[in-house]
Amino acid sequence: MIDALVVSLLLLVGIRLMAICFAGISIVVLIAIIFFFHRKYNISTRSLKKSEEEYRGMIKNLMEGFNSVSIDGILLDYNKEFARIFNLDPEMDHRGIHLSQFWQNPIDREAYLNELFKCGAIRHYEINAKTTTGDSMSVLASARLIRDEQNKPIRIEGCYLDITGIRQSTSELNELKTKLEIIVEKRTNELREKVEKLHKSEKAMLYMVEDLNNLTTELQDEKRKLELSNKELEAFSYSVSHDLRAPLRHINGYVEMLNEKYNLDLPQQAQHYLSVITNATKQMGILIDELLQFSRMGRQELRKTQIDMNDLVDQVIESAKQNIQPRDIAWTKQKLPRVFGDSTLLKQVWINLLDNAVKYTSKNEKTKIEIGFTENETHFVFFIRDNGVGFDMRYAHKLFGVFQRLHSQAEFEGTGIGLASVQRIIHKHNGQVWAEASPDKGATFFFSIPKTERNDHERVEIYITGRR
Amino acid sequence: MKELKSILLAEDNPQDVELTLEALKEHQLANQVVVVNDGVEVMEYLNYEGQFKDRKKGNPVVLLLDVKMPRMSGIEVLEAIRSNDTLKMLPIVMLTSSRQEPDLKKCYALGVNAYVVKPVNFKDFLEAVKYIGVFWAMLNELPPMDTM
Repeated sequence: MIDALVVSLLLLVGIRLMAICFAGISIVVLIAIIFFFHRKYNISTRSLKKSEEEYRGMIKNLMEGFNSVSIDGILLDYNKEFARIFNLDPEMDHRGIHLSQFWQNPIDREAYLNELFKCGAIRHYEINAKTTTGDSMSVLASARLIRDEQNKPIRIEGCYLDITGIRQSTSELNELKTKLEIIVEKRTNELREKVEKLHKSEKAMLYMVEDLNNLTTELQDEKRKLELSNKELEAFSYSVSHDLRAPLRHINGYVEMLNEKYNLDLPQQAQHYLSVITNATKQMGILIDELLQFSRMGRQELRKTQIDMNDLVDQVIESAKQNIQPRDIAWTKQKLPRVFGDSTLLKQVWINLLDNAVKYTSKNEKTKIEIGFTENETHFVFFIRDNGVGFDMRYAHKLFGVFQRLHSQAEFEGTGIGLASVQRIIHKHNGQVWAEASPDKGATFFFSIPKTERNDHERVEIYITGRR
Repeated sequence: MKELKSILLAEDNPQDVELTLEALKEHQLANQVVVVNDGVEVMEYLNYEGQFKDRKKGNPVVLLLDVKMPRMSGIEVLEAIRSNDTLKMLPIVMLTSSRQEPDLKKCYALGVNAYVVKPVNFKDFLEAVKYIGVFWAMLNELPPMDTM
């Protein structure tokens, strides 16, 4: 419209001028010029339009949300991503809505705007936003204040990035981090406790070692004392055997001389007294000898070897047969196993037990003495059974005590040391000794000997050596 | 007839001396016995010292030696005699109250000729002393004088 007006006006002026001043060439030139400019203007307008369309398209399809907002917060323009971020219906035009509805806390928007007005632009500003449906979200905003020629702010253009997912991951990560920290702290504490415990046990160990050292010293002291008391005991038994026997011998000697030289001068009663004295000294002599033997046995070290118990018992039976008055004794003996022990001492055990069996059956018409053994996993249990006078089991606990007797001297002679010796020897072999009996129905004596060759003391030694 | 030889009895206990002499008397050996009361006196006798300075020359046929004596014990005497060149061949019989294993070993190691435990029973004691007396004073041949 304007174009046509301009052309006709120019035509009129041209004609006038043509008519007035110049020739038609000038007019043609002018027309050409006008045409040229007109054409040029058209081209530039079209390309401007095209570029604006391209630009709009670019913004429309941008991967970031874009909007243009008036200063008072009215939405002027936006792109697809903006609509998507804030959950706006893509089919509807949302221009004209107020932006404050997208803030979780509208007061935050004021701070945001203050910042924007102060600097003119804002970068990577995190906003706690919400969608139209009210879902909380995090948005990273970059915005620019647009001003007119008078430098008056007219609108705001902003770009938005949805970082809700990132934020969630971050918070999850933070949570994980916190958990991890808790775990690490817990583990660290546990470790510290363990280290402390270790320190404590180390200390305890040190104390224990110290105690052990003290104990060792004490033990050495005790050992020394024991050695000393053993020596004293040795001296004592020497003294007993020597000095106690001498006066006994004297009593016996002088009584005998009295008997020999003045027997006829003495009344019957006096002779009786002298015979009592003689018997008493004899008895005391036996007692001293047995007591000494018993005492020596206690201190004696065991000399252990493999022993054929069968041979050993046969020897003892043979010598018993020779020493006793001819009697009707039926001996029964099972074949006995080999054991590990001190043959001299174990022989003494059999001698004492056999002597007892013979002694306490001496009032029988027919005597039966049976020797045998049983075994369990760890021990051989030997026994000797007789059909003698037996004893009342109520007094069984007194059997193995020194000087303890269950029969009077008038019934059966004895010192009360035989079974004490048996017990001492068997205990030294780490065995046990016991008896079963009833009055007038005979007695059975049992003793056990470990099957193993080592004794406990040696085992402890090996254990300590192994630890070094 | 064989020359009458002396027996040296070292015993500190007077009752033991009496009983021993009593036993020897039964076999007509008592009058040959010289009694000393401890080890020191034994050495004095053998070396002609002290109260025995002027005694008749000659060694006893046997020394009956008690183990337990004051001043110098029987075992110390035995040791001293066996390490003395002029006395070492003297026959020595330990006559003691008890059979102590350590004593027994020591005496034999030192070269004793016999070790006798005095029996408690007097009849046994008489027997023992009789055997010793008869054996050493009558049966046994002494080592040559020049080595004594």
